[in-house]
Amino acid sequence: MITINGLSKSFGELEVLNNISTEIKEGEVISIIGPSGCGKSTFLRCINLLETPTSGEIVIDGQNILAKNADVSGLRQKMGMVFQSFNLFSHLMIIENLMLGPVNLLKMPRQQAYDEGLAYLEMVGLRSKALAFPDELSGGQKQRAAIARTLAMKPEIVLFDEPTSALDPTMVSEVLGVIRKLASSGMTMMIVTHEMKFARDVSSRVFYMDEKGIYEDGTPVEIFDHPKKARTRAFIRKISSFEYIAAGSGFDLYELNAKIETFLKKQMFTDRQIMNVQLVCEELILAILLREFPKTRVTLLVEYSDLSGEITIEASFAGDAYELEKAEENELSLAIIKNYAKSFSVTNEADRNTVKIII
Amino acid sequence: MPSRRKLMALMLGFVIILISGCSAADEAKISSSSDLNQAGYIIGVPEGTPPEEVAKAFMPNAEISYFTQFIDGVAALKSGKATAVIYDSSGVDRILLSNPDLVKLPEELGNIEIATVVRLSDTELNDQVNAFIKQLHQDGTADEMVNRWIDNIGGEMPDIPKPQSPERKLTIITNGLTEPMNYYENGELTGYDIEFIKRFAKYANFDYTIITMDYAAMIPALQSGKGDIIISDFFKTDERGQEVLYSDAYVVLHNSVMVRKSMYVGNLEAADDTITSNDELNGKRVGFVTGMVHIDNFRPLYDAKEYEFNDFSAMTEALKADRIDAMLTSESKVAEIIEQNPDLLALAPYADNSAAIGMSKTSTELGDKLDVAVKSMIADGSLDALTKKWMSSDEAQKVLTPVTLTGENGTLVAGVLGDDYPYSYYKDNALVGLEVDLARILAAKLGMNLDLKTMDFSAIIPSLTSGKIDLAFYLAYTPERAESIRFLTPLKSDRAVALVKNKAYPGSASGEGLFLTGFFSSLQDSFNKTFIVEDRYKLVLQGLWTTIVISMLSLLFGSILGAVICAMRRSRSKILSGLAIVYIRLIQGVPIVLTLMILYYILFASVDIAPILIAVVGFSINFAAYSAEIFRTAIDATDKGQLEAAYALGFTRVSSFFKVTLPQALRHILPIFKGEFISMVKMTSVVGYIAIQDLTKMTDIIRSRTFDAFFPLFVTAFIYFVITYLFIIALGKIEVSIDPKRRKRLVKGIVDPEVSVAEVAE
Repeated sequence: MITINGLSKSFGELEVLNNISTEIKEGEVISIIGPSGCGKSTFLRCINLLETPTSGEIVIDGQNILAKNADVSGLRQKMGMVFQSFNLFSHLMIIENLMLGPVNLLKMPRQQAYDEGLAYLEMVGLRSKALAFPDELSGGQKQRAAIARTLAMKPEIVLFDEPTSALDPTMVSEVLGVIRKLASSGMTMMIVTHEMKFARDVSSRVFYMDEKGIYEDGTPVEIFDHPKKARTRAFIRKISSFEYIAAGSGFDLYELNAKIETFLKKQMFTDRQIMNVQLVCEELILAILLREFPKTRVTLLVEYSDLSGEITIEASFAGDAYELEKAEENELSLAIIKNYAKSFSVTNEADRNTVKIII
Repeated sequence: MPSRRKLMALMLGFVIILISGCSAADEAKISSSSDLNQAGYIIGVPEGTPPEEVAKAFMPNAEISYFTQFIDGVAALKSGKATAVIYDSSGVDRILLSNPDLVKLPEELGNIEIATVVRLSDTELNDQVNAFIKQLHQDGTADEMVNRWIDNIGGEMPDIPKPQSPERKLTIITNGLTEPMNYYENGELTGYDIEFIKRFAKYANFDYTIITMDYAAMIPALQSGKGDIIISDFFKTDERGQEVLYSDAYVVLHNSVMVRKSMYVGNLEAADDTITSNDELNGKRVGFVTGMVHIDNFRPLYDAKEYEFNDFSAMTEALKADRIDAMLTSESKVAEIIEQNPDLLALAPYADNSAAIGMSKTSTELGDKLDVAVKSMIADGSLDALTKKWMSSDEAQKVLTPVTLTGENGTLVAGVLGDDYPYSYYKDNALVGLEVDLARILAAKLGMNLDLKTMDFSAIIPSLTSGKIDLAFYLAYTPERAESIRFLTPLKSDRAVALVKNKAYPGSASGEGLFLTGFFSSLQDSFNKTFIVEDRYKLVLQGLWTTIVISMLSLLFGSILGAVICAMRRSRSKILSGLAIVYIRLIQGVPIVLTLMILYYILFASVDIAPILIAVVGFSINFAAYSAEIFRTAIDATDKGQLEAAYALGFTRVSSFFKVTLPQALRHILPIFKGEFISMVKMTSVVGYIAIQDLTKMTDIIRSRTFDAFFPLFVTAFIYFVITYLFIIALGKIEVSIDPKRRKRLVKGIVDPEVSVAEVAE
């Protein structure tokens, strides 16, 4: 359906995409993942020419849209786009947002556009908000309305540019629910996302983008569980782990707690699980290690394994071997930690103590 | 409501403070111009003119302050900003008439020569003017004109038609605010200069248009070719003689010094010099109202200086302010006048002012018979009844009394005017009226037939003496007329009386009294003078219309041009956006007055288009610079993401702009746009600089006639306030209509009973 050959894009001197070639088939749901600034969004925006590629060709239904006489507006009508910041037309009611394209571009009668618009709103659960203005909706509702607006043009493919990044965490799932439903209906889609769990569940194909191109291309299982290439592996590992350095007893405990919460929320953990992890970390660092060594720098690593569902908490610091289990004053804290921990171990290698707790 | 009333009270208080606070306490210590030569005194003069030279020569220690319009100088004097004002004697005399708080110092300090001005190169035109001036003085016309305009008040323009086949057309520059030389009366330019222009046009056989402007603008206008000759009470000076060409003087006036009466210690009024007899009126200043018979009766008896007034109240004011010594009126009105003005006195009636039937002196028999008939009608009250019938406002009553005209004693021939309601006029194509009715009754009484001849008034007396008609009705009695015709018993008896000021009346010298009463009555008087007299409200409306036209057209074209400039400014082409930036900086950096003058005097100097169009061009250019920036800010303020969403849906750049950016930008634009427009409306008040008579200029014109320095200013300010307020309301309505939140939540062209507003409201 879409063939991309040697696509490159530079912003001035800075090259963002270099010689990308791939093919997208009808019915595919492609998740595009990768580190920030790797050109995921730029790649997506190049496909419907919101960014003009520096070179290469994009062939859609046998037509090169980069040709000089290409009907760009016509092609865009076949390609829906959902933005990170929703971009609903703020001066129009929701139903009018949905009608604007069909009436003006598809020359659909107003009544028909209205009726169909209501049907799409019903599909995303917003029929009762038809006469509301965008700023009267919550973020999740806005994004669902934006999806409905895209669908109202009856596109052949929908491009999602980080559809949940601007949303409050509590609203992410309602939007993902709608996208999931859309995927199961067989719509061709490309989704730039940071929701790894979602990408893994929904997509039929995953692009890992790095080094100015599609670094690795495969099924979700191939990319998430058995990544072949080094950078992919590192990325997958990184997205499932979180590092924090507590510098001395004066470190910001609340910042640490907040970061733990954000990280684990993304992995869809419950509030209780998150609290447990926070409690363990607090006891380990504040009540045991920094009480004994107030001036040391403790490196904390929290890691999540998708396969086992386990969380590993690893705290390490430089110094001679410290047998914390033998110190009397640690008794209470250890009791609390062990209450949650599946396993607990302390090692000392190359003048570095490491405490490892698995929950 | 209460707060509004409070606001009104506050504003009124403010006005009162402004008016009353203007005149600081003065010490009376000036009796001659040499007393003015003191540091701290401020002498107001027009710049670069003989009055300035006088000020420098006679009052070197005093400070000089300049004005361009005489009336502004007067305002400065009245408000205490100036100690004295020096101007030409003709203007000063007019000012004194309506400003009892000002006086003229007795000495006159040298001559002011009034001359025409042409470009240096126009020697031929100058020679022609000089020849014309020479002729005017030789044939006595100049004296006539001085008598008409300068020595008397309210002169009437003689009928001088424009040449039939003019050789060329000249544009003549005048001021229009300088009574008695050039000023507006009933919306028409008149005065000495205007008569001069008309006569000169006839003499030199040219057609002309007159444009009016400030004195400061005249020389530039002349030099840039906007006008060909200045004829505008222009003072001849040596200094300017190198830039332009002066003609010989066509009038010579004097420098007169004017100060506030409260500072004057000279012998203005002797203790009690009240005039007590008519004989004392010889050589005095006597006022009369135009068109009334009183002066005709007065003139043969006494030799006085005549002052003509258009209305009675102005004449009364002049008398009370000692600008005239007496005024002429009818005895029947005296009681009422004195009741209202207890400081006035009536002298003994000087002449019979009655109206009677006039007859040829030769037909004594018919005259005697008629006199008997008239006397009987007066005696039995039937004449009174008849008069009441025709003078009433009930038209249905006004039918001729049925009479039988037998004609056995011949035919009575009466002369009537036929267009003199309610005396003789046509109703339903029949001649009716008091005189007609009276003629029929008298004819019937005498057993005669009646023949009515309609004729001009000027033909009545000659027709009587030559026997063409037997009688005419309601002729005012004058001794002069009595020599050639016979007056019967008066139908209406009255006598002419001169009223003088009773100098012994307590408080008549100063205008003190209850402050508020005085304030309100003077307010009413000011209102009357400013709007009602001579239908001056029409001038105000005309000016208002001009202001509105300039504002609205500039709004329209300025917005369009602004949109273009904004598009250029946002263009990717460096040249286009650079040009737009230069345009905006340039226009924003130059005062609008200068933009207008540059357009008028330089860019459009040789193009013959109406100044009002130049004003529209100027304000459009100016408004465009500001609106372009407003548009740009508003467009930049709209969400770029929404524009991308529109592109992604498949809209082109142009339709995205109109469907998405514009409707949202408008909401950002209007509040600022509104303010910018309002300030433009107010800025249009400077168009007077390029010879346009807008609201402000019209006020100046009225001010120049009424010499009321303050009232028209407040009124004009109020009118500006009202129109800008109305504009704000109108634009506010538009603002509401484009605010999506305030419109009804209805989708255009859709019927859907399922979705109702109620569902959204929760």
